[in-house]
Amino acid sequence: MPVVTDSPISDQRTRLDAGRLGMLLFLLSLGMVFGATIIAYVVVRLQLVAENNWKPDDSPDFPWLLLLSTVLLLSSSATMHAAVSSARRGRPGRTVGGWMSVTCVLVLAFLVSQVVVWTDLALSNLVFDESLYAWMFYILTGLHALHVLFGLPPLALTTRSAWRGRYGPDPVSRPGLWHCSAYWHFLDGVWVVLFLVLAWGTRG
Amino acid sequence: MTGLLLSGFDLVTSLLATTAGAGAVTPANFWMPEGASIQAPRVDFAFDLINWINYVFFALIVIVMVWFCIRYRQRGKNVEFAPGPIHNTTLEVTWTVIPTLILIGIFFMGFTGYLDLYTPPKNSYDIKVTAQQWSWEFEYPNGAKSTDELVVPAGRPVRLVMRSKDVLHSLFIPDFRVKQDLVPGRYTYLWFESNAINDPDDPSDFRWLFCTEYCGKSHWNMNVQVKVFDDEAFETWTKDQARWLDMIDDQDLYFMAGPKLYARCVTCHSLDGSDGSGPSWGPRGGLGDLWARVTNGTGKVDGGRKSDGGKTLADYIGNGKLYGTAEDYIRNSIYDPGALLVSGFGNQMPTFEGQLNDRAIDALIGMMQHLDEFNADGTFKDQERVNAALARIEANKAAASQASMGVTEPAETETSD
Amino acid sequence: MTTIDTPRAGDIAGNPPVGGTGPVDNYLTWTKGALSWIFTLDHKRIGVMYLTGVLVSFLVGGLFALIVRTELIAPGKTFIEPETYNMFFTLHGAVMVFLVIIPSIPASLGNFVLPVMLGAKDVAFPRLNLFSFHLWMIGALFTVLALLLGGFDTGWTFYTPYSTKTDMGGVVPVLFGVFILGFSSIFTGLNFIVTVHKMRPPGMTWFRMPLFLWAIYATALIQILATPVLAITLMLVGLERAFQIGIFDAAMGGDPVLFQHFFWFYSHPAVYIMILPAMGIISDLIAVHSHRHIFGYSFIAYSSVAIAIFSFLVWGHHMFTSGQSALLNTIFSAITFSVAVPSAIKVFNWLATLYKGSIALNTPMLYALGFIFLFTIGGLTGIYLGTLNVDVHLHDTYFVVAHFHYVMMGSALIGFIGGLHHWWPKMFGRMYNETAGRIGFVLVFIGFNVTFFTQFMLGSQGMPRRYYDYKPEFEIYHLISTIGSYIMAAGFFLTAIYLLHSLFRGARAPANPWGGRSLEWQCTSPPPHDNFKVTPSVGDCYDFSVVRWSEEEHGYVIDRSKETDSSSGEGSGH
Repeated sequence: MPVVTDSPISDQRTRLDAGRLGMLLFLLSLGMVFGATIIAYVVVRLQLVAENNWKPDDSPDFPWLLLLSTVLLLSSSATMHAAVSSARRGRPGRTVGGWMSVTCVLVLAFLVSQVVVWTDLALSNLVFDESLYAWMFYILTGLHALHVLFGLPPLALTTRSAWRGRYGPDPVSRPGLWHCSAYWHFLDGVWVVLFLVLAWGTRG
Repeated sequence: MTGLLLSGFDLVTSLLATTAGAGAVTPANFWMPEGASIQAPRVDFAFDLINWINYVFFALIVIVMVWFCIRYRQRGKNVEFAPGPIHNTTLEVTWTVIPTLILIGIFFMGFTGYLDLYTPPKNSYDIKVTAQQWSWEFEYPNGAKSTDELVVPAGRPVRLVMRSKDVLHSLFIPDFRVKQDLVPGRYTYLWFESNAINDPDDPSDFRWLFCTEYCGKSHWNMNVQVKVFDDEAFETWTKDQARWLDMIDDQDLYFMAGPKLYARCVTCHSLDGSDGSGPSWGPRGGLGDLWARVTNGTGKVDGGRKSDGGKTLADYIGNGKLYGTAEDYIRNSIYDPGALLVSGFGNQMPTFEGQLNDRAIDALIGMMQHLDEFNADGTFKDQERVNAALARIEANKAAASQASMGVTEPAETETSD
Repeated sequence: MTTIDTPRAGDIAGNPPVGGTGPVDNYLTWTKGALSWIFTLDHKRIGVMYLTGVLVSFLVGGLFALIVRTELIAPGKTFIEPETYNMFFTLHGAVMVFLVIIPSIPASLGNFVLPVMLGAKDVAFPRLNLFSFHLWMIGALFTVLALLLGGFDTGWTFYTPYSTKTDMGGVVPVLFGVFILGFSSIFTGLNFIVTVHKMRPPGMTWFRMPLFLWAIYATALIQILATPVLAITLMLVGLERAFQIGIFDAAMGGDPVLFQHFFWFYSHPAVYIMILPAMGIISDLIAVHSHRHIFGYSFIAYSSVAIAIFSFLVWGHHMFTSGQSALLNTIFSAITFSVAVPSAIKVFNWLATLYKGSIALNTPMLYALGFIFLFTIGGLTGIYLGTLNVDVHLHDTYFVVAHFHYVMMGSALIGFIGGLHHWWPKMFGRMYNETAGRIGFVLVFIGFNVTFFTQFMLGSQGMPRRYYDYKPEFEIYHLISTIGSYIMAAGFFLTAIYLLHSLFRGARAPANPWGGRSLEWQCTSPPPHDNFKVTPSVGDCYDFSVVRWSEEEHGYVIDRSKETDSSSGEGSGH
C-alpha cells in the first residue's frame, strides 16, 4: 500500500523506527510534566502536613469512585493491547475495530467517572480555591484528564481506520495503531502512579 | 594538594584576623569595598585567591592562543598542511586532573567559609527585621523600632531574624559581605559582627544596606543606612528609640517626628510634586499640595475601583460621608490604603496598621499641613526651632529617667560582655 | 545577468549534478511566493525563517538593552520612570533568553546545517519541524501581545510571589507565550534526536560525526527533558495569578522557594541549551579555519554529554541565599564545580587544535577566537559564584550580571554570530565583505568587554542588579559600561549592513569557501532543494590533508587522489 509521506527517509523500516523513537521521546517529555507536578504535590504535602495545615478538617474522604476510574482506564489499556495483537495476528478489520471501539467506550466512561468525582467533591465542599489540598487534587486529576481528552481525536481516527482494515500483521502497516497504544499505555501508567500518590496524599 | 591549600588558607586567615584586629576595617581595593565585619577577611581572602588562580589561567590561555595564531597563521589561500598530534592521553588527563584538584580545594574553602557565615554564635543579639514593599523595619528586644537606619552594637554577634510581609526581598550589606533573602511565610536568619564603629554625631558616617531581590517599582530605592555604635552609644540609642515619640513635645511633633517617619514614605511619595509609585504630597495637577487637595476635596479618586473613576475627595469626606474629616481620611489611607485610591495609582501601598500609632499619624498629618516649612528632601527648614525642640527633648528624657529610677531595664538592652 | 542558480562545474565538491550538465537547483528559488515559504517543509527554508525571526528579536531585545543602559548612564532619572525601566530590563531578558538565544543556534543554524551535515534530505519529521516554527511564531506574537496589554515587570525569572501579585496586564500573555515557545523547543529537540539516530549516512559512526552534531544532540536531550518542567511551572504560575491560590503562595501555606527550584531546574539546563551548541560551532570553526584535525575528539564529544547530564544537577546554585538549607547549598556547590571541568577540557582542546595548524583569520575564526577569550572569562568568573561564601557577597549584584552576559552573550551569542558568518555563504550563496566583517568583530569584541568587564567591578563593590538608580560612587563604572554598549551597538549595526549588502551585491560563494571537510561543504552554495542528488561519501570530517585551494573555483576542493578511507588521516600523535 503506497503511503503518501513527507518523510525524507526512504526505507520504510527505518521510517517506522524513527516514528517510534519520536513517540518515545515525546512520552519521555510528557513524563517530565507529570513527574514535576507529582513532585510538587509531594513536596507541598510533606511541608503542609508538618505544619498541620494540609487538609481542611471538613474535607470529604478520599473519593473511592476513583477506583472505578482506575479499573476503566486499565481495561481500556487491555482492550487496546488486544486490538494491537489481533492486528499483528492478521485478524480482520472488524476484530481490530471492535476492540478499538470498546477502548473508546471505556475511555469515555473514564472521563465521565472523573467528572462525577469532581462534581461530587465540589458538592461536598471541597472548593478548589480554599485549600492547597483541594487545589492540587483538581490540578493533578485535571491535567491527566486533559491529556486523555487530547488523545480522543487520534483514538477515534485510529478506530475508524481499524474498521477499514488498515492495520495488518506487517508493523509497517500500522504505525498509527502503535502510536495510539503507546500514548494510551503511558497515560494509563501515569494514572496508576497518580492514583497511588493521591491516595497517599489524602492521609494526614 | 587540598590539605595544603586549606592549611595555607587557615594560616593567612588567622594572620588577617590578627592584623585586622580591633580597628576592624579592611580598606577598599580595586575589587572589594571596605570590609567592616569579622567575616569579611575570610570572604576577601577566598575572592583574592580565586582571582590569582584565574589571572594565571587566563593569561596562559590567551598567550597560547595568540601565539599559535601568529606562529601558524596561514599565508595566502593555500593550506600548508602539517600533520600533528590529534590526541594525547597524557596531556588530556593532565589538564583534566589539575583543574579538578584546584576546584576541589576552592570548593572546600568556600564551604568552610560558608559554614562560618551561616551559623550564628549562640550569644548573638537578635534584631527582628520585617521587609515590605518598599521599606525595612528593625525591631529591637526592648521594643524600639527603627525604619530609617539599622543600628547595631559593636563587638558582638548580631543575628537578624527576618521575614517578609509581601514578596521576596533580600538584605545585603556589602561592607559586611552578608546577604540573605527574606521569604514570605518563613523566617530566615543572617548574622554578622562588626567592630567598625561609626560616629553617632556624624550623619555621613554609615554603611549601606541594599535590597537585592527584585521586588517591584521602588526596589532600587529600598536601602537604608547601617551604623555600628559602641555599647554606650548603642544603649542610649535603643532607649531613645523606644520612646522617642513620647519625648517630643506636642507642638514639636510634626517637624521632629515627621521627617523621621517620612523616611519610610519617601520611596513612593515625594514632596516636590513629582509622582513616584504613589502620589506626591507636594502640589500636583494644579490642585495644590496634599493637604489642600484633601481639605478642598479636589483630589481625584477612584473609589477603590479603577472603573469607578471621575469622583473627587469631596464625594467621600464630610459630615455623613465615608470619612468625617480630612484627618480621618489620611489616617484611614495609611491603615487601609486600598480603600480609596488616588486616580492613576494602583493598590500598591501596604498597610501600616500596628506600625504607626496615633502619635505617629499626628506627626505625619502635621507635616502635611505645614509642607511649606520643609525642604524637598523632607528636612525642616528652621534649624533654630529644631534646636529648641532638641533641648526640650533632652529635658523630657532627664525627667523620664528620674521618674523611672529604680525600675529594672529589660535584660536584653544591657550591655553584656 | 546570471542568476543565482547558474550551474556550477559539477565536480568541485564531489557531488556532480545529475547527468553532469543540468543546472543545479537552489532551495531559495525552488518555488516562489510567501506561502511557499510559510508552509514549506524544507528544513533550510525553516532555518532561514527562524534566523529572520531570531535576528529581528535580537534587534528588539538589543534596543531594550540600550534603553536600560542609557537610563543608567548617570545617577537619577535620565529619561524614563522606574516602572518603565523595570519593564524594559524584564523585556530585554525575556526576549533575549526565550526568543533569541535559546532558538538561535539549534532552531536556525541547526535546522539549516544538521541534515546537510548528515547528507540527508531533511530532518526526520519535516511537518513537525514546520509546526515547531509556527509555534515559535505564535509564542513570539504572545510576547508582543503582552507588550500591548500593558507590559510586564517581573524580571525574566518570573519569581513568585511578585509575578502573581504585580498588576501589570502582560504577565499572563507572556507566560503563555513562553509556554508555547517551550513546546516549539521540545519538538525541535525531538526531531533532531531522531534525525541523528536514524539518518546518519553509511560510514558516519557516532564518533565520526562533526562535533556540532554532538553538541546539538546533547542540547536536544536537555530540551526534551527540562523544558516540560518549565511549561508546567509557568502554567501553575498563570493559574495562581488567575485564581490567587497556588503552591507558590505563602498565604495558603505554599512555598515561593519551590518556584525557584522548579524554575531553575529548567533554566539552569537552559543555560546549556544556549552554550552547548555554541561550543559545538566553535569546535568546528576552529578545526575548519585552522585546517587542523580537532584535538581530542572523543574528550570533546563526551564532555558535551557530561555537561548535559551535570546541567540537571546544579540548579540550586542560583539559590545559595534563598533560604534553602546549608546541606543543599553544599551539595549544589560541589556539583557546580564538577561541571567546570568538562568546560575547561574543551578550552584546552581548542587551543591544542590551533597547534601546527594553518590558521586563516577569517571573520568566523575571529569570532571563534573571541569566543575562547570571552568564554574563558565567563567560565572563570563562575568559580567565584560557585564558591559558597564568595557567592553570598556577589549574588544578585552586577557581578552576576556580568558573568552571565559573558556566558550567554559573549559565548552563546558570539558563537551564534560566528556560526552565522561561517555558514552565511552556504545559506545564501554570497560572500560578505571580509574587511567589514573584521571591523565589525573588533567593534563588537571591544564594546562587549568595555560594557561588561566594568560590571564585574560594579558588582563586587556591592551594586545590586535591577536597580533604577545608584549611589554616586558607582557612576564612573556605569558611564563606561554604557559607552561600551554603544560601541557594541555600532559593531552589530555594521554587521547587519554588510550582511544585508552581501545578499544583493556580494560575490558568489564557492561551494567550499573556507576549506571545510564536513558534508555541507560538498553541495553547492546555496544547496539545492534536495541537498544531495547522490548520497555523498563520508570521509573523516576533520582530515584536512586533502584540502586544496583552487583558483579556478575561487574556493577549496577536496583532492580525491589523496583521500584515505581510514579515519586516522593524520598522524595519530604520540
